[in-house]
Amino acid sequence: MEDDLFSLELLISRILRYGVLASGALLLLGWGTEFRFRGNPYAAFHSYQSVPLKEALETAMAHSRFGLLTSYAGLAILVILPFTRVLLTAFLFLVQKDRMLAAISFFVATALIFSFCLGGGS
Amino acid sequence: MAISVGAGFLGALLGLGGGIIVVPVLTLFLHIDIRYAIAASLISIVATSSGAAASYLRDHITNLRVAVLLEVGTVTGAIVGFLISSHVQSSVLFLLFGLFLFFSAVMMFRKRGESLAEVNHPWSEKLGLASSFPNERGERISYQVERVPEGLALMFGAGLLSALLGIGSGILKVLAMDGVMKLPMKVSSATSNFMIGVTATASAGAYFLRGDVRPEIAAPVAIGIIIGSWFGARAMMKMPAALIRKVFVVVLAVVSVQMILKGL
Repeated sequence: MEDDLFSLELLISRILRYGVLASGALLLLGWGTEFRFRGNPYAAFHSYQSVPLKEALETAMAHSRFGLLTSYAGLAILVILPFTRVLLTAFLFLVQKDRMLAAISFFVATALIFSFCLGGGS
Repeated sequence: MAISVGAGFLGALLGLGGGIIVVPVLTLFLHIDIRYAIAASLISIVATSSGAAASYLRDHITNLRVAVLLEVGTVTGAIVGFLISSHVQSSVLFLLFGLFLFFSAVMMFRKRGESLAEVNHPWSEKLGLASSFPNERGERISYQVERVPEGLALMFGAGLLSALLGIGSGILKVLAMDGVMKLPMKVSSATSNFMIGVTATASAGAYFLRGDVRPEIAAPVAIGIIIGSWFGARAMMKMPAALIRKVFVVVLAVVSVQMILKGL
């Protein structure tokens, strides 16, 4: 039973590792095409300016900055990966009839969604 | 990006997220605003943990049940950390955290050998948290889990600091598991690394949607961390527990001085 849990969780982790690689590839592609030849790329970030994600994406679309959009896609995948793991682990515990740990995992997944919503709303 | 490779290697080796290296480098050397640095660091921490998790599970060191339970503490802590992030003076937190790390380094330096749990906490009994792990000779060492509620409370603090400072809080996580719950050092390290991604994504996701994660900064850092952590996770099993502890104490001391100086 415990070995089943471990091997299934290992399978989830291996799949998620491909997610990290996919994200890394997108980030590399976006970074390589967009940011390489633009002088000091960090000059604009010496002081903080609040620009919500939605607005940043709209600006990138309007200026056809596909490298930037590709990078955002890579970042979105990275953020979603741990959430996916928690959700799949919850189902894993459910299948194993370990209701207590399944409930705990679902709680963690819900808390993550709540946190994301807080960021989107601020 | 080269610094990120180093941070990722060290992070995976010690059960840290690498954020304690990434944030100071981005702010002190590249003069990037700390809010962008924190957000980029959290993203890189998610990459470290997600990339290395399979390696730790394969070695059967990670305690999955302990990880899932303690994530309740870290994720709720991270939410609170995100909510108060714009209201708290970070210099105060840097100072407190630095002093706390210094104290931890002294305590860990004085500690000789591992002290494992002698009794199993009722929650551990109910959730089946006690387990076993393989040592260097491949023998399975059984262990129990003590003081679960206290560990959970410390995890809340770890999550809060993670969101506020852009660190993985691996140091606090390992201290909670190793020092409070009396788990073996290797189990603490691996389980901490396994959990760090979930902790970090709670606030990283929030910062991402708020627009603080800028690809111009986060992309090179994350790529470097992915590469570094890949090598770090592979080196961990080949290193004895005593050496891991020594390296860990040095990292604690260096980071504590850095934090205190930042807070003053």
